Amino acid sequence: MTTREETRVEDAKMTVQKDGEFIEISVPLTITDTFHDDGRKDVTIQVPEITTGSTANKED
Amino acid sequence: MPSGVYNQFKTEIMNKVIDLEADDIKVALLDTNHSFDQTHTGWTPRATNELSATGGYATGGESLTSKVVSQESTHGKYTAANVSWTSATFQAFHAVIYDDTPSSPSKPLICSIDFSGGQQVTSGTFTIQWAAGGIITIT
Repeated sequence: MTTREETRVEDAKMTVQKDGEFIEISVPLTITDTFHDDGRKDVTIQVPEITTGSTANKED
Repeated sequence: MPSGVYNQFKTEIMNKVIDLEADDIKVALLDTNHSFDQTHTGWTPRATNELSATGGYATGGESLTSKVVSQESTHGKYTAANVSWTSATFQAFHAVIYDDTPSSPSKPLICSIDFSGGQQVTSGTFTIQWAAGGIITIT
């Protein structure tokens, strides 16, 4: 059985808090589609960690 | 629609209502009608936009396993094992993590994750792979 993988990186948005204000920042979301020759398709989504607290360390 | 942490998570952590290791923490999949708002509270209203119980998906979502809260040098970190749905045929747009254990407040919300559009699985395995840095970090 053969398979074909396609991986792409989407520009996802995340809401974080900075100086008391909620702002949206861009974070990478890696998605891998695996196509099987019998028509099946798998999906794997690699999600970035979500940070909350006194600093928004995802935005640098 | 962005990802983010619900204010209810921050509040109920401080109230000792949410225990990320001991409680039944679930991840549910939602359709395109879900909209993240950090002021939302409770899983039940969010379940309106949950995927239906077909195609290998069971309503309520999957429980996280191997849950660990750890203290890092600059932050606290929450990790768990990756989550998969097998023999699945559905399209998911978002995931919501919530605590299924507390009754008051009922099923508090933790965070919402945007999949940047609908992600389709067909008679296959749908996997959410958490970041090595953790599902959630608190700085």
